[in-house]
Amino acid sequence: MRAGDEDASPSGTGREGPPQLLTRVLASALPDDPRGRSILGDLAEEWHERPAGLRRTTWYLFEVLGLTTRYLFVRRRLFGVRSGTHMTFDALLGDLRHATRLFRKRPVFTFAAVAALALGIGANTAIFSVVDAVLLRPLPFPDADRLVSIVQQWPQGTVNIASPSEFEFVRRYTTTVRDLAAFRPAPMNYTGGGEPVQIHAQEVTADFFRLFGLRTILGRSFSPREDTPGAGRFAILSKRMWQERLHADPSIVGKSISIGGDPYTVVGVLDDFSFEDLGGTPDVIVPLQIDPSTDDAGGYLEVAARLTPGVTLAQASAAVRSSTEAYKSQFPKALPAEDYFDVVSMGDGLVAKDARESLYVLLGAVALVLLIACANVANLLLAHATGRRRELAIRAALGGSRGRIVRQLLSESILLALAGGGLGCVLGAVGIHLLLAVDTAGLPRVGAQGARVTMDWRVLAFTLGVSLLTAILFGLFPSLNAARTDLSATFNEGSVRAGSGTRHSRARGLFVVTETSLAVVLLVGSGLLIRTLVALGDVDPGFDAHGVLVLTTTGRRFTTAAAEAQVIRDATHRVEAVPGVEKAGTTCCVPLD
Amino acid sequence: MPTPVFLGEFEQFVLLALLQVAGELHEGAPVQPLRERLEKLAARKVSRGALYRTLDRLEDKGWVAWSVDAEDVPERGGYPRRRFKVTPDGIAVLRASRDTLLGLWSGLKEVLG
Repeated sequence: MRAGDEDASPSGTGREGPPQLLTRVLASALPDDPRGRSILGDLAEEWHERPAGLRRTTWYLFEVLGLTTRYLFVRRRLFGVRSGTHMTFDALLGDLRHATRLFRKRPVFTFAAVAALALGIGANTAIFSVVDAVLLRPLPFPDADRLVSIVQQWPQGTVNIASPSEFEFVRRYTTTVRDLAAFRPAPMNYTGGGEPVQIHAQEVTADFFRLFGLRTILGRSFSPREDTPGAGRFAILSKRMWQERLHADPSIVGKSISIGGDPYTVVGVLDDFSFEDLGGTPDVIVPLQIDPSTDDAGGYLEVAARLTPGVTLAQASAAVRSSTEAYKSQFPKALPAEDYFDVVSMGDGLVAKDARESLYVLLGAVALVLLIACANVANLLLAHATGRRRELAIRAALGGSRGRIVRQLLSESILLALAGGGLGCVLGAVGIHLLLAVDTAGLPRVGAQGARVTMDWRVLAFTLGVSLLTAILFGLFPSLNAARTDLSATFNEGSVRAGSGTRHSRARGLFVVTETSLAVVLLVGSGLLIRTLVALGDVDPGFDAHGVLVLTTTGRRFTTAAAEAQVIRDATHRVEAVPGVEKAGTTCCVPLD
Repeated sequence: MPTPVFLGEFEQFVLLALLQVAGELHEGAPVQPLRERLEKLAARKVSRGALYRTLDRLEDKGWVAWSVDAEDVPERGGYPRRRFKVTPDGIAVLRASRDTLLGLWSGLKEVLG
């Protein structure tokens, strides 16, 4: 949740208040007088008394939903009951109680309907929770929607890489972005605590800290002088590294620690931060020392920046694109003729276009599954209504209006949908975690084994919305149909089948046709998908990967290439000597990794 | 004979808890301590919506009144706080309800113990 979403105070006190959107929803349902405003105040007061976190937000969501529903029914008299303000909500509760009793009496029907809905809503919740984590959740940096990535546009698509010369060129000649920072992960060995330990390091340029709003709790961040070649070896520690490996030494700044056998001067310790969206939170940050006059055209850096105030993404993109020609004339061999630089929003840069499209296609597919479930349940309700025609006719004969009967039947649909939604939420959460634990399919921002895919308030609101929409989708037609009761025909048993029976069977036929059509679409879609996967599996990569194991290691202790080569040769011979090993080889990069 | 006034069980709980809390505070009772007292006395969860609705209904009947304070408390986001108290009519209704119940209970000691 962005900090900006959490201040419902009309007086602008600056304190972190309840989520503003939810407060606005509730305020729109409450009377605009001291009575209504005091309710908002009561909630705000309790919000501040509760410990911060997801539980508090969930609590607030449910309080707002409960009060909004109650006050909407009281004020707006949604279902047309005119017998008194307080009767409206009582009548709704009465309908829900009646529906509960009815469902208890027909467990098989209830189970079938709830199960179908739970599967449909569960599938939607599962996929939406991934969409939420990958595409919708804002990056955990200040003013994140103004962060951009400098990318290269190739004929095959967009790649989120840049070269040192490109970085220096953009830094020097572009004014539409500022706080330009280059960075790259650099696995290193911490050698200051006995046995070498592999740590996650990140090489960054000086503006990295200002760009991502990182604060130090000790010392300072890098100065521009420290990210120039030959300036020396400096390090900034993460809070975790400082606490776990350096015993939270309060006088660590200015001391030297050993990384890869080399001494690095500690200049600062960072406060807690998360870099999981950008490849993992580093233990140590070291300066990326780029020569300003470099002609290195190798694309191995990530470059990010912030849009200059008043500049739009389109303007920045146009400016950076147009600078490509000047870059090409300065570095003729650096870029192929058809490639150019571009600026994309950082959120877009993190997720490849095909992954984004795949997620939306999946969301569409599960929406079709939900539509099939809706048609299924609508059919069940129609069959159910046939058996209840006498009951509905008696209610109509006793003075129950058509609207009142439709409301009763819709309440039953809402109850079914909410039960299906609740169960679907659990099924979706469990299902997606099991699936992601097996394989995250290379999706960014989902964390190790999908740990960062969570049920936050957006997912819960989505599930609730889908459940209510579903209730209307599958409930409205059967309700309207059943409420059109022909009293004389119903009480005259001989004519029951002739009249509305035909109508019912026609409607059910329509639902069956809809279900079948949707199922065919899904079947064809999934068939094509499976065929694609099979075809991908059949592509010959040009090497045999069966029985091949990969051992990854890092090392930075060598001053000469010969010494490093000697170690690699020795290690390779020793691995070959292990029983069962046929051959061993060394490479910088594993093919297709 | 005057028309008897019926007090619902929850309405009675709310009026009694309100008298207790307001008596302890020596001023009108805010909603939150009232809700906590009710949950303690009734030994069940009291939903916020049900309590507001009951207070509104009691106010419509003239048994409860409220005044406003705390417009400038930051924790309340600048929103007012209502303090409730039972009106003389509310106290009269409680007395009548108690008399009715005591009349119904009387003479049943052998059965109920």
